[in-house]
Amino acid sequence: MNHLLWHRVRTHAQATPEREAVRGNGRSLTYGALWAQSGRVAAALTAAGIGRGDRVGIVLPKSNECVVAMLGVLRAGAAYVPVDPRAPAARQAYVLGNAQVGGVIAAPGILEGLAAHRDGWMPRVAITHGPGAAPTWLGDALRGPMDALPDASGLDDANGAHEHDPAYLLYTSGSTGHPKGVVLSHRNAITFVDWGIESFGIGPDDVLSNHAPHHFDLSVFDIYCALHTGAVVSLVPDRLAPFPTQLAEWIEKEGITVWYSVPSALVRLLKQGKLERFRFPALRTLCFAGEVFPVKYLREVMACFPSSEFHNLFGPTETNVCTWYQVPRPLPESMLELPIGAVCRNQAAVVLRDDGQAAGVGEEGELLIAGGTVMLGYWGLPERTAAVRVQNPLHADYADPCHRTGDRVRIQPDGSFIFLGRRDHMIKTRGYRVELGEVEAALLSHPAVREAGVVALPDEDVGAKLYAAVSPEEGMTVTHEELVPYLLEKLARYAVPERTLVLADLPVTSTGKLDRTGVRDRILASLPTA
Amino acid sequence: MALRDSLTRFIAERLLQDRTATIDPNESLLERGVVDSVGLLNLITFLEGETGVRIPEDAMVPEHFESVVAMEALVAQLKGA
Repeated sequence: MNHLLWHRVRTHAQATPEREAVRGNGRSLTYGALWAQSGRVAAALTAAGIGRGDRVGIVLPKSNECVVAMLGVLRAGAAYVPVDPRAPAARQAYVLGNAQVGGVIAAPGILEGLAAHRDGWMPRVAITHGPGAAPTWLGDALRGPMDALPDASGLDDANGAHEHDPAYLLYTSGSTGHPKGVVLSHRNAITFVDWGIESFGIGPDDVLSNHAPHHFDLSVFDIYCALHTGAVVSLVPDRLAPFPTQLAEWIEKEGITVWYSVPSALVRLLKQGKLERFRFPALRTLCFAGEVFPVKYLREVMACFPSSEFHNLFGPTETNVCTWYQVPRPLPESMLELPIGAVCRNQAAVVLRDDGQAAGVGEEGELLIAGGTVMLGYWGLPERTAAVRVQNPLHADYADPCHRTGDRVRIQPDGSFIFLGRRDHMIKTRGYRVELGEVEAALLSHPAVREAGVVALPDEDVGAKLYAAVSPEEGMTVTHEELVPYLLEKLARYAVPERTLVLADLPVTSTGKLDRTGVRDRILASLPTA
Repeated sequence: MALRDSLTRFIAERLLQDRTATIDPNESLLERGVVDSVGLLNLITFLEGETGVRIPEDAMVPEHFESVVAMEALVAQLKGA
């Protein structure tokens, strides 16, 4: 049976245990070692009573052990919750508490930092990895360190899990001021992974890069398309990722055959990576997703990788990838905007006009997606889930649930789509989703802030940059410099505005609502003209 | 030493998001995971604003941003050039 996300890893571990599976920070893990180590994690979790219906947080710097931990959690029958190890402790604690994780696998320093923010949350089991003394607040829950867990060759993997059980929860920006958990099942992941393997012909000779952080859904492609085919996933070392010249050398030296990242990572490689030093003969396929790739830069990047295919992958975390477009070579001069392509195999798309009718060629509307990749829901948010999970509006013959993506598209004559924008106030910066409402809620929680408005202005390098306008409470003052450290405790770093304009009053519409267009105009007027 | 103090404070507040964090001037900030691509751009902006030097693209290598001491040396080298 191959219905759970770890099944095919077992197949490769049994058939070719000596082959390399994961490579990270100069160390290599074979399929056999990956299987043995993840079994120990699974056994330690099982012994602590963690199994089907539970969740386990993973808060580790990117490393081979992250992959071991993910598989260990899955083999115990539970779902994992990858948490950004660089996020503020308060945000990490919020996610772990919101997901009600029964276990956590984390670096000792991170566990220590959670103590002040845990708000009564207490894991049943905590496995440590990395240097540092284990924090005392965990008491009897403490196990590990991870590489010293007892042998588990007798582990029974039959834990009752089925393919519609949650496999992982990915937290994304939420408009109410807190991140929300997207619950994805084994079936969701396998549907996507199977599509990736078939579409890009991934096999045992491939070396897939893993550039995205593990709390970001791009990493699902890298890790599982590799581990399901006997290929290698090579994790971009955290210490090299910020440095484009080193990153370019790494791609060449590692013999990466399939690269997947946000466009802004490729733009940085283009601008600062000195790519002309290399030919990248092994790199056959580059995929990008997460934000719009400006065609001007895509042309230049394609020139640097003359023998590689390029693919534009599109979709929200709730459906992983749902449409894709193979970029033609050469890219036609007339192409000004890159299509997001047609719907992926094993999914279906409906484009709904504003009047509720199906859109035809040349018309625009909201993209709805049905099929195996559509998430189980938002964790603990049935109303939010119901708002985006709708019966296919074109018929009532049988249950045909669709996910409302909130993305507006136009249908082209060949059936592919052009992305036009969002229905709501979600924006992308560096490929990360940010709800402007979450940033505004964080600003409003500051004692000196009376009103807050946030807008995103287009930026060639990172997609969009955030700018805020606030008004102070009566008799108080506030500055950008005071707000930044405060916001950094509440928001991911990329969600903190670049600048904050302080006004006596913010512009409002005739109905008294925040006038975002007015805010935008005031901010634009305040910026230095370059 | 003024740069060391302000740089250490900047790293604690802006990158580690913890005003009370202790940072050894010799410890590897890259190993600690403090510097990601957003953090690196923030650091460069801070160093340029604080010292008036212009950090060229050639200097954007891990060795120059490994630690507080390494960044001090980079600034000193650029000032001398």
